[in-house]
Amino acid sequence: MQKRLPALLAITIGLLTVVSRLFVPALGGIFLQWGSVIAAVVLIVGLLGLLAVHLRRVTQQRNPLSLVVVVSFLTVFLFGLTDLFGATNDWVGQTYTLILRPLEIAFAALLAFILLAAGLRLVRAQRTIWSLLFILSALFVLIASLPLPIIRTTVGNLLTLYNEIVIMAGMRGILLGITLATMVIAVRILLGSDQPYNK
Amino acid sequence: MSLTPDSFLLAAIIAFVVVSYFLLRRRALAGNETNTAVQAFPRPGFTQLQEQVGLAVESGRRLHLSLGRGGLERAHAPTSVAAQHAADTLIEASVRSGTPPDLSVGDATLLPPAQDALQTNYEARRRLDYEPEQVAFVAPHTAPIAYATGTAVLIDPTEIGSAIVLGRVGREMAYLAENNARQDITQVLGTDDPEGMAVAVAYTPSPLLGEELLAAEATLKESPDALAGLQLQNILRWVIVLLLLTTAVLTLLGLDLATLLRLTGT
Repeated sequence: MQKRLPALLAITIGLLTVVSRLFVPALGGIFLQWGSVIAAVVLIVGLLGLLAVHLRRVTQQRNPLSLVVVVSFLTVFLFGLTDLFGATNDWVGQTYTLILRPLEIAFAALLAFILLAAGLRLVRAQRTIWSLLFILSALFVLIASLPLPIIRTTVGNLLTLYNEIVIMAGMRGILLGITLATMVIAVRILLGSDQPYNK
Repeated sequence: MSLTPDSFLLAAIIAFVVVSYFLLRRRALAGNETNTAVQAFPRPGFTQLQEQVGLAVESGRRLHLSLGRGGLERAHAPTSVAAQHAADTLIEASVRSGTPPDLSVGDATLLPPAQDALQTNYEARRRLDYEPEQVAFVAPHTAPIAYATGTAVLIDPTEIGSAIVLGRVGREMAYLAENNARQDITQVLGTDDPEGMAVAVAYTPSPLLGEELLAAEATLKESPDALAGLQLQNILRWVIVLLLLTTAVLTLLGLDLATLLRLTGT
């Protein structure tokens, strides 16, 4: 019974959600809303766990990075409280906009170079046709994307063709495979044939 | 309570998939099925994955498993479920060998199943030292860089011998992979995100890409249910290939599928 009840609940709610998606979309929305509420509760539990992990690392291992995490955590939590009671104006949002967002943008800008460096390391370690193709492709895209008129006129069209035919075809093939696999796993969970919630 | 054309199409697809799955599952359970569906996928990534427990034990260190940031209440849930299946196998082997792994997740909904998997294995081995904090929730799915940097902080090379990243991980995979590579930690990377895949290819010789990762249960656990699912996937792929080829030929002839169906009176 201990294992049957979760399975029974999951299958019933899952099937109801699918059927209501087809016939009464509003009902499906309610189930999804329940899911979001539970996810929010789990988020609080997760945050407390995160704090516990880093507090332990600070006290037992004197880890400086964990200390930064704990201090940042408590500072942003304090900002949240001061925002809530009107003492400050959107300091949580400002923290995100001024610290986290620029870091993410900088990282995105560096991605191509990180990949190129990693690709070169891979070629040195394992010289296969695929690793060479990866490096040549990355180099071509980087050079062809340079904002120089001479490059635009010579290989600009080639880059467009490469992106629209080679890259797009590969991407669609990969995404199609993922979609099919996702659909089959979803159906298996729905039928109770895969019960990740029952260990 | 009437079906729109879109809903009708969706219902027809679901019905087809469900019926086909039941038929294939029955064959698989009856033992008529060989594992040809699994052999269709390259295996080096999974072999490498299974070797990580032994490598970590040999080096006297532990495994670190990171399960991505695909929430169970969102569209990428199946990827996280597949990653969880792969993690189950590794957790079981690690706990059995006496070196339980560390886990980290990038979405709160992944925390309870990961903790559950670890606790169940501890109980099965009658170990009493399980602590929920062995699974760390690092950052919510909206903060990918915080997830990557937060996970990297948890990977201490003196304690961690192998780092495994499986699940929905995008470009932030680069930070994780670079951190592991610099600290000389063996790594296995697998994701269904195209940007993450590019990173995984650049950093590891046998990454688990897209549907390979989603075939984790069938490949690692080889259960008849999962094998039937994998075979259904292969059948559906051929159906789509045939559809694509048909529409391409029709387009070349100046026709489209809808016109043809109308002309034939279907």
